[in-house]
Amino acid sequence: MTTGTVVWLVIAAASAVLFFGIAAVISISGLKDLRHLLDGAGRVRKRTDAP
Amino acid sequence: MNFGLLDWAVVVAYLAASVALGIWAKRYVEDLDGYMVAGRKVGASLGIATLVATEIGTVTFVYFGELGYVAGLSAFIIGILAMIAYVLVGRTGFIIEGLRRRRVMTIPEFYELRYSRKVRLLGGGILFLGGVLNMGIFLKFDGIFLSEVMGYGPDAVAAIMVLMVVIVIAYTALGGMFSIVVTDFMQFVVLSAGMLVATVAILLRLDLASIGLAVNASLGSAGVDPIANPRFGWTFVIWILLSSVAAGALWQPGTSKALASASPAVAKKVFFWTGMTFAGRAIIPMFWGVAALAYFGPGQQSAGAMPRMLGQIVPVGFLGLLVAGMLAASMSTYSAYVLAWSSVLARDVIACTRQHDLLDRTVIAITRIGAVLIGFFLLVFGLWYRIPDTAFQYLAVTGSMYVSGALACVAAGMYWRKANVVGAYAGLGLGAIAPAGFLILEKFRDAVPPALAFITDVNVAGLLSFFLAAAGMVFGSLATQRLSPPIHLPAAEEL
Repeated sequence: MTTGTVVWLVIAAASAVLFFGIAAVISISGLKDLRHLLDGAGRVRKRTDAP
Repeated sequence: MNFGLLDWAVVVAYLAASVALGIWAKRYVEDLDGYMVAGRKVGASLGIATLVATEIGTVTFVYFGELGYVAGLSAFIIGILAMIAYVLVGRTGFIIEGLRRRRVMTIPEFYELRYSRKVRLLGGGILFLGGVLNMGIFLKFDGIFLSEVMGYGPDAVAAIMVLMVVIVIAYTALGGMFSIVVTDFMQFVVLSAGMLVATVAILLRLDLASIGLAVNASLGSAGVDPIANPRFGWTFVIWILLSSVAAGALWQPGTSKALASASPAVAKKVFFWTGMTFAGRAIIPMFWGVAALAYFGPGQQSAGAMPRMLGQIVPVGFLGLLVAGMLAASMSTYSAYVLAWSSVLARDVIACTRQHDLLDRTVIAITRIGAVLIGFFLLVFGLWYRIPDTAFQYLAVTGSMYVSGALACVAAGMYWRKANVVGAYAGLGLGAIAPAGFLILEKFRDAVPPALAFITDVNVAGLLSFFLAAAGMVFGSLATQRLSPPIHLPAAEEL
């Protein structure tokens, strides 16, 4: 294998680790944001539904 | 046929969950803000998940896989350039911060603030045309991928594609951005899992040394050096870098996620961290394509090689998860794109032709009808259009039709006091000419006079669009400062 080939394969491995690492973190923390978004929207609906 | 009962069970469960979630989220839509930008309350992590999901479709895997198969490791440069561009936009807030502060919902809305309603109409028309043409090939390539992975013929796959489009159009039209954000999150989790399954399956079957040696043997230096590769070269590298910055800041489906963010600071954070995934977003599927080169050798149909390999090496059960991941990727992309283009049609084209402002409920109704019509277009266009070059280059050139003019108009509008209406018209028009010229003239390549032959080089046409747009904006504005004095933007909100 040439040096360039090795360099690109190392870059590929690093970018995959970064991608899946961020995906794992976001999958957990995104749930909190989703709950917050829907709770906030739900409260607005209750206020607008009130007589 | 590669698909077993367990695989089908996973796919059906996923599709059913998407329908249920997407339609359930409709209850949260109260007004136009809720429909278009989810009330501008999307937090950073959710914003990142939905932006990543939007920017990864099955077509993304197909065109990157194709590039990996035909160009080897040298194609990886695209992922590096995209990451640099998005991270820069996120770090500096280039354009996205200003748009979010001004609480616009579409890019052409900014044109009206800074230039005029007629510029908004022209910009909206070009954006709509470029955007819909751009997504016209998505369904075709999704069909290629699924057909090869699942091992079914084109008729069965067409039925799956139609079902998928119907589901996406239904929840997008009904629930707008709220439905999209909720379903995008689930789709982000499923597509990440699908990508992991595919990558692990490949690494268990092929070792890195054999992959590297296959690239060297099949492609030589062109497989490693993007400048030496005849598909790429410096023209391509500069075009893609410019294009990535422009698209990062101004591609409506992605930018709309910034516009839905809870604040400008959150918008920047979303772009920065999404940018950090962009190298992997491109390089992972390109790596699969390179693995297909090692698995089959050269000579396969370029777009089908990688999915055919996956269909053969991913075990039953996991294949269902991979396909669910691909469907998730597609659905998140279609929903964002369909909402983006139908909202541009409603707010920036149709509404701009009216004397008086349309009611919010009318805008929502037009957006819903536009979403359905775009769905039909996808089904029809995908069947007959033949792509002139690789899918990636078709997408980049149709994208350039819009982003080059938009970059000139929005960047100059935000950061250069002398930008005026004449410059905006010139920038938008000239930016669209080179890509449009390419799409038309390449169909008659043999009849094109030698003096115009450069337009049929996709890399030249793409790069030229940016220079023409910038020249139009700068010279058009400078030549007409007295005739058409610049309008100055009101101060943006401090949040």
